[in-house]
Amino acid sequence: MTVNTRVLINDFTYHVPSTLAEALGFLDQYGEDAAVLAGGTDLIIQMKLGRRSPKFLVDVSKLEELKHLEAGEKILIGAGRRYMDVLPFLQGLGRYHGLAEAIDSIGKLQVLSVATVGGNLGNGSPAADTPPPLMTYDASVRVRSAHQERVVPLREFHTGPGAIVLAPNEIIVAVEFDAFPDGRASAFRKLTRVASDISKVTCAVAVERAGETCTHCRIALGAVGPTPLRARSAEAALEGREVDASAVEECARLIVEEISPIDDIRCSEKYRREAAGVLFRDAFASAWERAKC
Amino acid sequence: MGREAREMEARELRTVGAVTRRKDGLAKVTGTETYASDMELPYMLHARVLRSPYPHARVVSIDTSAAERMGAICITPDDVPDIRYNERQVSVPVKTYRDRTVLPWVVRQVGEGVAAVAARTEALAERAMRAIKVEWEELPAVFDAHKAMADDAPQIYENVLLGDAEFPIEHNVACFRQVSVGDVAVGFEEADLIVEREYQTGRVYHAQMEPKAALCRPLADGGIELWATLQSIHNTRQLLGRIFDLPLSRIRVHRSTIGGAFGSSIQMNTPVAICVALALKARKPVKLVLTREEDMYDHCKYPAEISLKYGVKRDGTIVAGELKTLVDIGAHNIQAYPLLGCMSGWFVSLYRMPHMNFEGTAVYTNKTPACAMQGYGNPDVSFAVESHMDIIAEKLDIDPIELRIKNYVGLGEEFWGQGPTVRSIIRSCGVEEMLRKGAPMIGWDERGRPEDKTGRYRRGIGVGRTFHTSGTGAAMPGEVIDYSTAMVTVNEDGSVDMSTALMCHGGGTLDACAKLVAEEMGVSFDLVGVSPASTTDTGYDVCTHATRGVYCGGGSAVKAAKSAKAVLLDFASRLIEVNPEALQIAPDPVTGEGVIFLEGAADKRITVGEVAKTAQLKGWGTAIAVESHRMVNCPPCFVTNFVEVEVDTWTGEVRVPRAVCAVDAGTVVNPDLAAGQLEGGLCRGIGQALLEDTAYDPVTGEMTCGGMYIDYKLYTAEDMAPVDDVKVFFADTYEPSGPFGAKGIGEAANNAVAAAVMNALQNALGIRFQFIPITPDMILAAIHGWACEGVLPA
Amino acid sequence: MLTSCTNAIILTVNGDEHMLVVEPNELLINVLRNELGLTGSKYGCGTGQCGACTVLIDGEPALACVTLAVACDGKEIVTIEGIARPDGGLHPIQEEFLGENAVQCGFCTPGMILMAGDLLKRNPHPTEPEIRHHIKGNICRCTGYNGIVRAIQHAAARMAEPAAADGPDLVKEAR
Ligand SMILES: Cc1cc2nc3c(=O)[nH]c(=O)nc-3n(C[C@H](O)[C@H](O)[C@H](O)COP(=O)(O)OP(=O)(O)OC[C@H]3O[C@@H](n4cnc5c(N)ncnc54)[C@H](O)[C@@H]3O)c2cc1C
Ligand code: FES
Ligand code: FES
Repeated sequence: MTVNTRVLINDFTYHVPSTLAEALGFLDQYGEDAAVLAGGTDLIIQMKLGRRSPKFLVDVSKLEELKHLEAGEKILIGAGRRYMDVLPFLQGLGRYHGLAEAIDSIGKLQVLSVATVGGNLGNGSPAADTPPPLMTYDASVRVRSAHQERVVPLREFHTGPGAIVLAPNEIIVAVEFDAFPDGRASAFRKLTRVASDISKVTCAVAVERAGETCTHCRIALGAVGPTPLRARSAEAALEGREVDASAVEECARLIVEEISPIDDIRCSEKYRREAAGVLFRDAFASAWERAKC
Repeated sequence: MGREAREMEARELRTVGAVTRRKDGLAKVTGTETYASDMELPYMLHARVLRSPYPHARVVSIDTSAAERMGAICITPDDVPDIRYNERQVSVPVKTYRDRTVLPWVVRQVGEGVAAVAARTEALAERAMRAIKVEWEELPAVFDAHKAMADDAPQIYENVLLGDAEFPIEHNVACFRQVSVGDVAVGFEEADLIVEREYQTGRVYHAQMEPKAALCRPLADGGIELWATLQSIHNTRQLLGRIFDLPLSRIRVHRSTIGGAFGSSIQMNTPVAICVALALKARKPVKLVLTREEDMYDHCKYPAEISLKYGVKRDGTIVAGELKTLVDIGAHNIQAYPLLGCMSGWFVSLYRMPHMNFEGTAVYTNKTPACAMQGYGNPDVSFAVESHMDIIAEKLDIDPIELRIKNYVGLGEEFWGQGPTVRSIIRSCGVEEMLRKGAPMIGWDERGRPEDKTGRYRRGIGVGRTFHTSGTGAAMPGEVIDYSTAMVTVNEDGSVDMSTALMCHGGGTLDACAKLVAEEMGVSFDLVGVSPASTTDTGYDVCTHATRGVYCGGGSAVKAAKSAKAVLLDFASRLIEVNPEALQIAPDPVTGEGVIFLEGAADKRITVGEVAKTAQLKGWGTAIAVESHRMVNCPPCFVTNFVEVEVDTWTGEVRVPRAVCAVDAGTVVNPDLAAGQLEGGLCRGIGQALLEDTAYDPVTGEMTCGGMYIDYKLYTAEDMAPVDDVKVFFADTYEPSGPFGAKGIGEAANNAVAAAVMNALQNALGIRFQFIPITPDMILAAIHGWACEGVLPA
Repeated sequence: MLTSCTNAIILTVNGDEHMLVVEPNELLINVLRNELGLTGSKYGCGTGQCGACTVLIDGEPALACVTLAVACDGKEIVTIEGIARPDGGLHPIQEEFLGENAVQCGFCTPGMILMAGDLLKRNPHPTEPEIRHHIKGNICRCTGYNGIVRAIQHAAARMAEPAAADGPDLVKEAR
């Protein structure tokens, strides 16, 4: 019982830099002792729960460099952009339903108004909602330190529960992916205990079709393994194939084999396996239908 | 009262039954209502409690020196009176089990407090608390009630006090109760069909929105003043007097607005005594507010394992019933003995049985202590019995509604309102009306059979009916105390003050009492004020629990109003020279002011304000009255719930898209607030059926949710059925013993919901679930035949 | 370089500017409640789950229990205490919460009213599912939500009446 959710008791110094360079300078200087603060909807709670006790907080909410929202050949979403801005941006583009549905599923307005995609990635949770749809978009994460910029494919970004490839002195600048070619569509499905909750299981699908043949397929799932993951064998089984009920069933079966869920307080391993197949079928049906038009 | 007289009275009711704005509403919608956790006093200190990380351990030593060096005031078990107490004081002392002290040397659950600090800020107090060093000796712990009764189980208590006598604890059994009527063996012999099943309900957390708080100010004379999250200011005062050896005249407990209760503050909660001990030592006001996680480790609902057996005749007549229950009470016995008595009473009063046997066992484990939560064993008994009724109906091929109507305990029959010692005769009953009227509203006859339902999404309809008691009054004194006191004063401008120690938990109890006073006094509701209350300016009231607020509390308010009115009319008779017996009072249609008049005599009129003012100027005195009043009945407020469920058979998710909730509350004093009670009860009942429970890690003894809402989920607005699909109606009844015909509602609202949901699930899937909550995991397990805890093999 | 390491902040709360000295680890909810006496923002869970601590920060709903006070430097905050009209009259949403029995214990009420205001500002004619979606971050243990949903429906209808001078924007209405 060494938790107190009424107050924060560990001391830290708070910095709110106005440029990325300044922020990166702080991180370089403080290393492991620093934490990046965006919306704080994960970090502050973890600090209350005693899971993290940074000595320095570097608030990135004022950094214009993290606030790009660009739709050209690439779609680029600044890591510091609040969901509340990203959602209408995506809805305006009208095609990236999977990611929009994932953000919308967070639902809670008080969170959407401050929380960021950067925080969702930076937190590294296998149950986070945006990584699966972003994985189906073959997205990459643009990362900066004081010394270099690198682009990490999202599929290599997560390394374990709560673990990501980021070095302590690095900041996520943006997440980006290629604009959809015509005919590509996506969808996202999530199961929770109540309407406002972290996922029990999620599944995102992106497809392209030529008539009844699937010409491109990406499937990713959340909360069914140590990291968000792609269901590659299932993707391979569908790509280039005529889509009928048996193909979808076969694919669902492959997914159930490919994932490695665990029992936890939200649900059982067995449930996750069963539900992953169901969510896939629902997400696929929705994306497939959307790809028609 | 005959039907005609009743109709006449109903026609004449002006305020009772009218829709009004709640008196505390303005403060609540503007954020200015002051709850105990909002209270502040100059120079007050903030407290924190050092809590056990172990489920069972002895404190070897406590070193507070580091905390004291930080400027904190510290208390340890050495600093508190060595008095064993029970936090709940509703039962008579000889039936009260006392097993705890303010800070113990032996902790029996994770989260039990052993030391506390007070410091200038909460953060400072938290740091000082963490600086305290405790040496623990871990003791073996047990988390399962069956294991706790085994010969080799760790012993959680050697003895406790029952009243003032030592009471040995064996096999961790806190108490046992058997109640029987007739001879069940004979009864089962006579039966054509015997149905036996096991049921289980969850360890639900009250989740009242305001975590508990206390603020104590020490007074110069050694006394104390207290604001805290409480349902009974008087019982709290008496208990504090006993623990801290203070005369009651030096303890002033204020009624504070409470952010929800659901039974969690019937007892004087643990933070209260700790806060008082700190304030007495610090000689400064001390405030202690629990975190959500501390609150969740402080109390939960009594869960129950129930084994139920009914014997019936071929025509559906019940001839015998037997209910055996095992209740895992956790680390302290707060009110298990009366709980078991009540459970026997709920069982007896649901359906007529010539032969009945009840056996209840309450067992200690090293978990969060359980206490009353809305319904006090009734949701559990009703869940089992109402599930059983459907099983029997199916076996006999009788419509479940007809089976219920054939057997329910109703008009003229005996009702056990609070166990075997609190009985009364039922004199108002809307059971049949609610079942007959509700059935077509939900589409009962079209509900179909599970074997005909196919497809991914399947719907089903179910019914559950039960009741709750209205208070615990009875003709003779029993094991529980029940009476209220109210004071009514007619002010010099014609307005009226009502003063009572009753509480409002949000359901509108005080508004209801003010309405009853307005009705009786003949003034408008607006002119009746609810006075702030404390122990020094109110008479005893047992507690606002057991759905007694309107019926019992209202009863005393009406009695006081009657007496004050008699004084007032006596004054008036002197002024307008009319015999007081002939005078009436009615509110002026425009001003709302009470007008005293003689029917038919235009010149014999005077306002209440004129009379009161004149009486004051002439020195006659104030029209004021105080009445302590015990109701000699405890009529059941019956309730019926119909629900429809929709199951996603692929994911196991269940929604309740439609419901019909009906209550027989006699005269409905606050119709809109009463409807609100039913809607709230429905939501909590669905939570108990499908969502809420607390589990414990068998190694650490911690709750798997850690006491956080992150993993203790509560339904949101989006999970609930659309407004127009939840229908509420009231039975048309009149309770002759109640104030203006009223009975209670509160707890009844959620008592039958879980049963209705489970019966609806059976109708949707053809699967009978006997353990709640039923999660999507369990639904899938049942559909696919997987092994799963809590799902019985088909 | 340490330009931002100061603890003096300026908060505009319900239209009043406050200069405050705070520790970096102080949470907005505690500053509002303990320093400014605005106890209408409630602690219900401290972990972002219940919505009882909801306030508007620069016009957007946020959870004061997971917000650092220092991070609000220069921002405009509206709490439940800032919702009533300047003349002390109630906002139509408050009126309807009273009229529709949306209030029982009242502990969730401040957060619910702020979310209702936020919804009607964005969407003056919400459907019932939209209302439920918008308040799903706020837990009410007492009412079962129906009274709250009805109150918001009625407030929307009332605020849409042409005669109503009530702007839907809660923020502008702060003193
Ligand atoms: C009530 C509630 C409901 C929630 N519901 C959901 C949900 O449904 N689905 C879901 O996925 N999540 C949910 N969350 C979790 C959380 O809101 C999201 O993960 C959110 O995206 C985190 O963003 P943030 O800006 O608040 O991150 P912060 O808490 O500020 O940061 C999170 C982590 O990321 C790091 N970080 C942040 N930005 C950067 C950056 N630019 N570069 C490097 N590291 C960075 C931080 O150091 C920290 O470790 C919920 C949280 C709450 C409180
Ligand atoms: S107290 Fe902030 S969300 Fe519960
Ligand atoms: S009114 Fe009590 S929590 Fe909503």
